[in-house]
Amino acid sequence: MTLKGDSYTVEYVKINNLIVFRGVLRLQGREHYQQIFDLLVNSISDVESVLAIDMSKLEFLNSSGISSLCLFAIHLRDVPGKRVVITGSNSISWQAKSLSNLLKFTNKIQLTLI
Amino acid sequence: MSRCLYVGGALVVDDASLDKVRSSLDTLLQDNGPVRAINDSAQRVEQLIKLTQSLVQAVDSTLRELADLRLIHESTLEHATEVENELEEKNARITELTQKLRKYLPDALYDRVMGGHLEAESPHQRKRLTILFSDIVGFTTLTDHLEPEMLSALLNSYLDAMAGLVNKWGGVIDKFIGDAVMVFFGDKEGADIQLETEKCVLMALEMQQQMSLLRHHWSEKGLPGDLRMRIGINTGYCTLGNFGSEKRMDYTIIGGQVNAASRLEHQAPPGGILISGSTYLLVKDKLECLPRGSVALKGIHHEVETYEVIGQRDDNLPCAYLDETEQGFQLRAVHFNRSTASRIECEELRVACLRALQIIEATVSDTELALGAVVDLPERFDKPAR
Repeated sequence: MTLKGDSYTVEYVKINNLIVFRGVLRLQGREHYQQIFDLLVNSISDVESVLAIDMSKLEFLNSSGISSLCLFAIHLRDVPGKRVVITGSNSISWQAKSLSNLLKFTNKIQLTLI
Repeated sequence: MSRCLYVGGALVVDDASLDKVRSSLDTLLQDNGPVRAINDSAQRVEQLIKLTQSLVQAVDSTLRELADLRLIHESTLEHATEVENELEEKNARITELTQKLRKYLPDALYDRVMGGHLEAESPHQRKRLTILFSDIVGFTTLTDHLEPEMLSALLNSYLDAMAGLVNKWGGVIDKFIGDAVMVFFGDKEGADIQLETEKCVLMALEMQQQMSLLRHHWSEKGLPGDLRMRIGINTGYCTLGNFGSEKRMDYTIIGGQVNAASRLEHQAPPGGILISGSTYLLVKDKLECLPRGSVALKGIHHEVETYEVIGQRDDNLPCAYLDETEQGFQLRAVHFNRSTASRIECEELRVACLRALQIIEATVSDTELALGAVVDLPERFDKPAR
């Protein structure tokens, strides 16, 4: 399943238990992130144990986007037996700080910066 | 004082008596207020405890939610700060790059690009423009004999000086082709073509003046000091816009009038400026020109009237070889070569010499008058006729 916008794509590769974010995400307000949030929630319930999220090709994410990721981290806390592995990029300066903050919500997230 | 002397013994109670006791106790419980109150209070305490427990659970849940919200808030703020910092860095980078870009584009074109008035999909337009081509005579041969470092120094100093003049006069550098420069005037919104053409030809004169300074400079540095520049100028309707492929566009002009300007440049004498009849009609009031007859230009169907620009008609304009100061003047060093000097150089030198002589005569006259003598100025030192 793939969600597409003018400047971004969010693709769920079911066979690899992987979600890939690409491009620039600057949707206005939390409600516009609902589809992406639902995709994350459905994917985590879909996978057996580990969901991989690749953010290394996401150049920009606005504040509403990071809030949605935080809510997903809170949701993950209450899902038994599931974990998330996030891959970020060191060359995209906001990712190191903002993706690390997700670890404060739950210890079920593992972050790798490449 | 009473004492208990016996404890124990049997109490014989019959059923009837027991019923009476039971009845008495029931009556006591039903009628006795304090006992009932105690019972009610116990139930209330039990309810309060349950209520308190549920309140504690709700507060605990709310506190957890608050902690999460605070964390979301902090994460969002930190993210916003990171993004703002990145934005600032990128803005600084863009500023740095645009400053570099400015070096490669003329001010007029830079302003159009940066102001968003020039899009790659902009429609082409027909405009009356004045086009200038310049070229150094024999430069191609020179490139075979000069060391790359010397060639680079020579070419860069030449192009740098010429580009500076184009920017000063508000032209658009269409392109550099080796030592050749292609410039056009009249692209600005609401431009007056007569004014733009005057600017173009005045710039051409200054380019030739600059060239003589460069020759002097090159000679001092051991570079060839006898290089001459030819300039051709034409005015006419051209097609203006972005031409090229999707990935590489050129904001340029095309058309027969552009080719005519290039052909005029080839026909111009070394160190001279050759203009077409259409350009001459726009500048003849301000510039002294000599007719050079009609010429057939390749690619142009009809013969083109040509004129060689000699100098400006205005005597009060600055002179290339003479700097006037409050105390007097300073003449610039000139290596005059009769066989290579152009008409423009000869005219500029003649005006410079005449002005210098006028200043000297005026000084002599003032001195003589101060001494009470009468001085007759020779006719040849009168104001120069241009």
